[in-house]
Amino acid sequence: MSLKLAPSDYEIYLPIAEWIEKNVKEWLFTQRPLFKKLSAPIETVLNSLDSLFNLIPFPIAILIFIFFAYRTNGLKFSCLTVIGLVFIDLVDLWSESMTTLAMIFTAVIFCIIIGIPLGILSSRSKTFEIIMRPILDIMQTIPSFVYLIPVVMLFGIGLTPGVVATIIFALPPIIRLTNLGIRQVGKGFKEAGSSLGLTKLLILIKIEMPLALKTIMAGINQTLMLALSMVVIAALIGAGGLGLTVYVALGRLDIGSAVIGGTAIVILAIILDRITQKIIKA
Amino acid sequence: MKYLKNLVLVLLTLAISSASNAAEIKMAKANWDTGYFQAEVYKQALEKMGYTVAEPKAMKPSVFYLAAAAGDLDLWVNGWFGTHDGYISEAKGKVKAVGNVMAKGGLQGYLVDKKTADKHGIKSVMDIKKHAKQFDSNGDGKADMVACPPGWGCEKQISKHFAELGLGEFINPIQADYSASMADAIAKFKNGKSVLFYTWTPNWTVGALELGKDIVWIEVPYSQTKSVKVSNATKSKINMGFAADDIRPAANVDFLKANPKVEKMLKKASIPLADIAAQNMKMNQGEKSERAIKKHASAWIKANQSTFDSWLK
Repeated sequence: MSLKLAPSDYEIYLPIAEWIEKNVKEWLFTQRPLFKKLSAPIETVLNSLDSLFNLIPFPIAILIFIFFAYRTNGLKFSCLTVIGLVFIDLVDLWSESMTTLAMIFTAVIFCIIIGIPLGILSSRSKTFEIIMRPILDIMQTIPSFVYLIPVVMLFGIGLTPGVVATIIFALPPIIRLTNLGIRQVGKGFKEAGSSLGLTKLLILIKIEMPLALKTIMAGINQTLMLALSMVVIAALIGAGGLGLTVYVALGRLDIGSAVIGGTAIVILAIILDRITQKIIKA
Repeated sequence: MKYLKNLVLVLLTLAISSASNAAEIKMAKANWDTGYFQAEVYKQALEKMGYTVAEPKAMKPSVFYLAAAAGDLDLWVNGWFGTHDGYISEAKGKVKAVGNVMAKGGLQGYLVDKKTADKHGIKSVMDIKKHAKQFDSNGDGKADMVACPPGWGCEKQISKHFAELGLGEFINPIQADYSASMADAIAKFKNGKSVLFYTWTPNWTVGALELGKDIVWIEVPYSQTKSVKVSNATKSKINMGFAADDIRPAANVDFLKANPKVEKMLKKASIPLADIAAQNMKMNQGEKSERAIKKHASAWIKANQSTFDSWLK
């Protein structure tokens, strides 16, 4: 291996990392007040959901879950839901689970608020879609560890930055599938609409969105699942909940806590996935 | 198709022939980058002795001591004793510390930004009680402190402080990744907010926030440690709450038995504190890539060739 074939063997080096370190890092530090303001709505929604979920007494929370589980998947699944939730409470992870749930819901709500309009825009304009595609590819493939520290510099540490990181990771599918859903609506429907004298906006609301709803819901389901998979990583930047249980267990090589924390995440994932899946099909 | 098959065959043969042989030393290094330099110097020493050394993998202490006890790893030179004493006893005689990289080289303690310390007269961690709001960012009324992440040796010591001094009543240790929490603390500092954090030296944190100018050590009146003279503290003599640690190699006992030459070298070798501090300073100034650290190690060996050679005799 002594052949000098690569350019770096000749002391040629691109100091990009140093440049970013020197220029971008300082800039990031100074932008904090602005980004704190931007994340204020996320913080409000998150804190209210978190305190709401933790306030709901256990039996009522169970009843709410049973209601949705029964309506969507029937008796057998609602029994399994109850067993799963009682298990979470018995291993003393109920409040962590509620915090995690609040985080996921907040992330999904903001993904919907940001994602659906962007999806609609992509379906309207070819140029916009072409611009969006590489951005979405990057968001989905870049390791989240890369943007974790910049997120901390801008938004601080805690639940809110955790949700911001989750949104970055979970946003792409909803944009993609909203775009796809609207593009799949047959030309005939739209022509029928315009022949009835509907404006473009009305065609979108009355015809395209309802017909694309199933695909959009599939996007929401995927976003939800991606958000759940970020739970543990978000714990690295101080987001509490089940992720923290697993992260702490990982650090201390505490296999017991890691297993119950992981199991609780799986239980939440299965319940949320089955319920949203059935809503799509209904 | 035929070419493809040949190509795969050639690549496979190359891969197998270049695969590492079994006799190499499996070394690890700490996942704090100020320890990389020592690891590289020791690695080059082992190579000079004729061993093949696999590129050291960075890991947490808890993982290293577990793997070393199982024999999956042979050694590292980033042990901090007393902080890591607990891990050695957990390893039940399968891992031991040998020699000294740097005796009494590791300082640890709690720090506050100088501005706040001067303004509110904070000299000790107990003074935080009255000014907890100053350090509070999540609105729970308690001061937020960047503490040790779970799995680091210092985490246990910090929980002892919290238990004995009742710090939990007014301090909330942040549970997150250390670099992330420190990034947050630095951002707070740069925006004029007060910061309270745990750190150790040598470390990059005291490069980002300058000791004495930006930040100062504060006292932790913990009963098991004594007051010592420390520069850049709120008083000339403070109790840091941590004893100064010896930075020492730790190795699998069976490995040392099988390789007495390595044990002899580890017992002889050491690196002066000033040299490590100088190298860490270079890292703070941006020379922190693996490539740069390797260069620093080679340069240090060249400058101290006779000392280095004496380790190997």
